[in-house]
Amino acid sequence: MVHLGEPSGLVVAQLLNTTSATRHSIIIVDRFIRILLLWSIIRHCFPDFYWSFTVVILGTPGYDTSMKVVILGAGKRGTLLARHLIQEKRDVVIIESDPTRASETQGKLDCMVVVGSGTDPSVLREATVEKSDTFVAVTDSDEVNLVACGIVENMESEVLTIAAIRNLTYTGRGGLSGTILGINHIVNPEAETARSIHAIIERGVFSDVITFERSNLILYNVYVSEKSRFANQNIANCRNSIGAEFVIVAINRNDEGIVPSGNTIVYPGDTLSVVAADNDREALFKLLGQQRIKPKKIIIVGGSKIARFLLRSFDSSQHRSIVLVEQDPLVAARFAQLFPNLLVIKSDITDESLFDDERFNTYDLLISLTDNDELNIITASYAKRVGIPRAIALIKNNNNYTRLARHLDIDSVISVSEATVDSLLKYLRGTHVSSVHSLFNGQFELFEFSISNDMVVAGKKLKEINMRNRGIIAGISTVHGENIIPTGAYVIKPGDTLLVCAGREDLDFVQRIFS
Amino acid sequence: MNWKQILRLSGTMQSIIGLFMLIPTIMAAFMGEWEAFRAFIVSLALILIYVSIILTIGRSWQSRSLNVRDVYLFVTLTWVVASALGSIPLMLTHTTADFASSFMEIMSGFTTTGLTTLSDIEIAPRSILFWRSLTHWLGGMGIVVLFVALLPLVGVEGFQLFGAEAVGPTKSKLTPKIKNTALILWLIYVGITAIEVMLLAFGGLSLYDAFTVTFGTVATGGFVTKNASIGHYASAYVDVVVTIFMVMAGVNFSLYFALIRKKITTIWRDTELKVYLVIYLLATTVITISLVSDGRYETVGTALRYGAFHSASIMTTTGFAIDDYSLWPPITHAVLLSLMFIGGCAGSTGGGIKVTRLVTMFKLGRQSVRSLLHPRGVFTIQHDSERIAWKTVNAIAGFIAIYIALVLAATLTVASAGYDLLSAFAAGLISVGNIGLGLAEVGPSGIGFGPMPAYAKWVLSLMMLAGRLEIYTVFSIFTRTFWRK
Repeated sequence: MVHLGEPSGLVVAQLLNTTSATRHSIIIVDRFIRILLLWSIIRHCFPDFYWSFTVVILGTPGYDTSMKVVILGAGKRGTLLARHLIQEKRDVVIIESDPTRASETQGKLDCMVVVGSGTDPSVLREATVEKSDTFVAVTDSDEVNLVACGIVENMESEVLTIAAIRNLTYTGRGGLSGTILGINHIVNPEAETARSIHAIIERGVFSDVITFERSNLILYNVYVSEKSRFANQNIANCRNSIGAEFVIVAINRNDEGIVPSGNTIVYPGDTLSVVAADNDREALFKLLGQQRIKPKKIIIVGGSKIARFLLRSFDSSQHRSIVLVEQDPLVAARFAQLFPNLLVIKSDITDESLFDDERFNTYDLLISLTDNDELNIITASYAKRVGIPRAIALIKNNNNYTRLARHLDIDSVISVSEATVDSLLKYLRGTHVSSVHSLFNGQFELFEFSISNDMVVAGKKLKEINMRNRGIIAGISTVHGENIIPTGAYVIKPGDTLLVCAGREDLDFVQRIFS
Repeated sequence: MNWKQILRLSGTMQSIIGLFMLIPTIMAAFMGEWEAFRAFIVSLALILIYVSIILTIGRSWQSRSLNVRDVYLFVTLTWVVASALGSIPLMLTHTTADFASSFMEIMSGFTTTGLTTLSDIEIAPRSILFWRSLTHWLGGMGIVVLFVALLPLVGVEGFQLFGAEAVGPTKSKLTPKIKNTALILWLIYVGITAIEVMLLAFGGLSLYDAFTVTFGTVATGGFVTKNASIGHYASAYVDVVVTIFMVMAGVNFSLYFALIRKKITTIWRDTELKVYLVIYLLATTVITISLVSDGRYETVGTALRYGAFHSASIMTTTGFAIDDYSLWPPITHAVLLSLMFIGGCAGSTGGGIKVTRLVTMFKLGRQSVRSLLHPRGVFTIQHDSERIAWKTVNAIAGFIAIYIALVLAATLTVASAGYDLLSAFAAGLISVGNIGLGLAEVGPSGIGFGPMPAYAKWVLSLMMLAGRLEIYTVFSIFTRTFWRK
């Protein structure tokens, strides 16, 4: 048996030279303090243990370390969202009505799956919705999503509710002014997809270049070959070898992500993620041997809802250089009426004479947005053969095609569910995080943090922030719109936007620093 | 096959076993059992070498996630390696005759079987006996589950590991994260252990005895440090406490979690629990009545005490004894033999076929008869008002088929070593079912497993492991598809 606190309690008692009654009380107080101390150490160092202890011994779920999210629907979006959240160490409960799919999900993910209907209050209660932080409804049915969120709002209005709604008749053409049924946030998968396609077009359709919302910095991935001037150099030397300023935020070596420090050595075969200011990009692109063009003449294949959202995000003057190919005469007519400046062609895209007749090879970009994944991939791949410089394909049903399509020389593959999940994650991560991108199959994530007055880091020098080698501050945009590749001496001011790169497992840690 | 990751995990795993081995080592030093102390130090050094070699080489290995095969192989290897390393102290102190006996003894410990190769237990060093009992406690809730609870693992791996070791077909998740589920189960286990230790110590047992008996009870193991098993204490109080805790250990542990969360309806609606208790009460009643009519015990109360103790001991697959039941009337033997087939509830520490599987098979049988009478009828099999998928029903049918085949294989092996038919059959049942105490020669007064030839010991060790890991985990490794590239 270990006697906690006995020695020091005795010492104190002897020092005070007191009677035995006082001595005993001092020892008791001393033990009590020590147990409290030990307890608080356990609480802080082993939060999981502390949590299970409170559940088992006290019968109440106590200090829960992680945010709890309940997801309705274990479809593509639901499982993808759950996978992301679990990697961020959140507690996830999924409600799914199909038992087979539920058990499949249970086998794949470390989460709890409750079988039942999302509109059944007893099922929602079984999934402990009222104790969760967020409820996300992403079934394929708008009505189920709406009603489920409504029920949850009724049960406990503290819970943040998010619904995926497809049909425009619910949200109206210009979007809803207020909320319905108290739902906190509504995502439209098609609109999100259109938005991310638009962003890709704006930045020039490079599959390996990322631009950011609030700063003019760009990130791109560089493959290091034997001949590269980066090969076998350490990072500090790499920085000095080129006139332009840049930061290497992550290295991908044999599918393993590395957070680099100044003396990390770059080997041939590595892929570097480099952040640079937009002004320097021409110099850097020249170094890379790539030309960056912003496409003007665009072909859109398929008059889908996504096409409508996408067209709406362009100015009507820009419509003059866009052509839409749609084989259904009614849909084609509807688009011609909605967008008068647009050239609408009623034809099957696989028609052999179409590409010659309309001289499609003079266009800059083809976007294939039909409901058929296979057709989209074939069309985009064929467009590149014909001589269209860039092609984008949409994946709607089968996410596994995204990997396949990258091998077919298609510049960008957009998946509806990935776009939706990206937007949901962006919302879940809070308002001060504005854009999130993942690198190297999600091993790393890039955030933009807006610094406000009440943050701990405001007013500190960069080198005073201990990132413990878990993340890198890649760039800073100041209030005045300047872009800075940071050095350790830079003082963070409120209003700045910080670009931070961190590994998946360290997201929690990094978010804690910047909150 | 992801050997590197399997090896690295196994290194970390065995270091936990090493940490627990420190307890008997310290005890040996305090009790002045220097031979045992040396044996423990040597074993600890071997574990340390094993762990440090793997972890030093493995530091540069990339971590890749495990697939299903890796998980099955890892879990099986963990149990085999843990038994091999754990048996070293027994071998070095010459407590057991040879390596086969030492391995069987510790495998019997980790799998919570409780059959022993020792003929005179009391001459063995007390620290060695403590280690033997401690292996029960570690194996009861599952050493891999302990591992999942203590170490940060990537979610899916932890879940698969958990599934490969968990007892019976059960909804194994109590919380969204598998790590927290494992922690909660272990804390409940520790809590029940603490309560039993306190009650036994209150009944006059020394702390050493209280701990070793408790390890055997809550893990449904069966090792006791006395030749006469629990009968040594000759105390009605101890018998009653041990009976109650044996029955408790045979119940699905997630029901205790429901109890803590005050979800009484979940417990009330649990079919398996009800069937388990009804079978237990029936067996107890039959044995008590036959004991009373036989006139073996003076009062009805004593007969009830003995009947209740032994039916709990066999049904929960513990294997304690307080009297030589081979002298009882034959009907009681028949009842005990039937109980050997049943076992505890899914999600408990007990072994055997499990009540829920038998309930499902019973329903399958009834449904087959009904579908003969109504050729066009559509029938489903339900459990706790939830439909059981055909895949699950088939898996259970396959489980029982293999289970019986294993019992027969073990029977043949033991019979070939010269044991009589009843002993051999009981030996098969008690090894595959992790019970540990059988009838005739492998019963309370028989010659036991000590004189068995080495090959029979290896076969029975394999049977115990297969039974503990619910057959499929172990036997998937012996298939050709498992190793196909």
